[in-house]
Amino acid sequence: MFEITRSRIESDRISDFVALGNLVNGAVSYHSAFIIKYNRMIYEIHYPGPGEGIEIENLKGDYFHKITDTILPEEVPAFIALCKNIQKNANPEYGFFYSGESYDVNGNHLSNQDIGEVMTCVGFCINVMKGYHEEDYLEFTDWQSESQSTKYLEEYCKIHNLDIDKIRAFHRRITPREFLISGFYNNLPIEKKEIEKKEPEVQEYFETISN
Amino acid sequence: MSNKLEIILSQANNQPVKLASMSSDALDSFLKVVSALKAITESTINKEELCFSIQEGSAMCAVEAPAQFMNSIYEEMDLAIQGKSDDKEITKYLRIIQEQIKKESFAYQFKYKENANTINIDKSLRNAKKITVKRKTREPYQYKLKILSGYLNQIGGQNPNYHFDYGLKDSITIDCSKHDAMNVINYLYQDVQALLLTKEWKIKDKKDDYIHKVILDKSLVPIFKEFITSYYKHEDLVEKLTILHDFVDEQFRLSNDSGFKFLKHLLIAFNDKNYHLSEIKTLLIISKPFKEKTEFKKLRDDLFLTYQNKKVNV
Repeated sequence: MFEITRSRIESDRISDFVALGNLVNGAVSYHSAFIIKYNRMIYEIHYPGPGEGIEIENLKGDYFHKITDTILPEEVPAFIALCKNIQKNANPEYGFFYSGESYDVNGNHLSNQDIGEVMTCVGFCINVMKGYHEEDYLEFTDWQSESQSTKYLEEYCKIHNLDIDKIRAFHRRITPREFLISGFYNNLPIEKKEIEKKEPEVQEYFETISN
Repeated sequence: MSNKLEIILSQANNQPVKLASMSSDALDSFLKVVSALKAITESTINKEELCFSIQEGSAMCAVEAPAQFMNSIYEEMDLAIQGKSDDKEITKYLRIIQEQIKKESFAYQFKYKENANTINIDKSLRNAKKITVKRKTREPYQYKLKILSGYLNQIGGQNPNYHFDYGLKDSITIDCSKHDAMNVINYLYQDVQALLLTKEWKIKDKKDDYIHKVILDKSLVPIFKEFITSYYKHEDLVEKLTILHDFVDEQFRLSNDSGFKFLKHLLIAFNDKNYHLSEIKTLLIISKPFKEKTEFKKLRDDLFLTYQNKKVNV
């Protein structure tokens, strides 16, 4: 079975879950979020963009999601509590969020330091996963080459009126689509080549449903 | 895409019901049913997602909401009708509707509409036993953190433990590991404050069991007690874990030293397979930045081992 689901019609699953979600325009993914089922309710947790805080609310958007097996149903409360803690300590005015790891090794809270990371919606999601798991979530070094298209980042900066050069330094060039596809894998850290293997199939899925 | 719940009162005392002219009895019954329907949906769905309507053509009340929310309510009501729901709100208000539907003087219909399907709930509700909340099969005990003080007057044994003596033959026994015993022995014949994991029995006259966690410095006791009280005040796990995060944040805000001191004790206090997996995981998340720090490494590795063993068994 192909396991990407339209979040709005996910109603038959009994156990809690954390899923990785995308909003799409045609066959293009343009936003990412966590879609979470906890105690019969479905929530979305995401970072809408600079100037706005992290939102934890009942599912509103028309997302497509893939449930990640890296988080057990029994661990969903721990995941939500982590998101709430990041939300509490976030400083959205400057678009800065700590990376899920809330302290430096000396116990100083990272939100108190001014080495802010300018965040995108994907950056937020990736950082939560990084803070949650013992291992790195993605093999980040795989994404450091320039080969990746920066189209998504250009779009993002245009919509939010941001200076692309300021963002570029922090942006790991991971797209919302790549984040969604990472949900198919459980062996951490997930390598870029694994994600690329799955990409054509997922693209075809979105093309089919957008027609 | 939205689904609908509909309740229609068509007859009262063998007379057709019209919104334009209702008897006092019929109005009473209808109002009860309508407010129960409102309460059921509001227990699960945000108010802004709900749309209510009251219509003529008998007396009809309908509520619409997005399909996935409505579905989860319908499923819970279905469980309640089978006597299997543990949802206090839904069972309470469904019982009110059931009481009215069961009355022979009223003719009610209760429907769930999804897409083109209509499911009649009134018949199964009429035939069902009185709706009651299913008691969760609770264990006869629960585990809780507790701080107890006492005069330490005995320690040792094949299965190591130590005793707090309160005089008049009143004493408690606290289980500990050999390793703990070698540390606790330094406090022999002293008044000590101990952080314990208590197995609280709900059976009358059965004494609680105690597992040793940490001997606490007196100065930490009031702060720890306050944390424990607020932690166990909440039933919802996410709220509990939020309190845990906030507590550590607050200690680090006061001083790094205080943060480390409390976090170290928490790593020990929550290292037990009887905690929920999310409780153990939350402490691993909070302490992750310090995993290579010398004084934390062993404690955190031990907690991680408990986490992994528990994960295999969930």
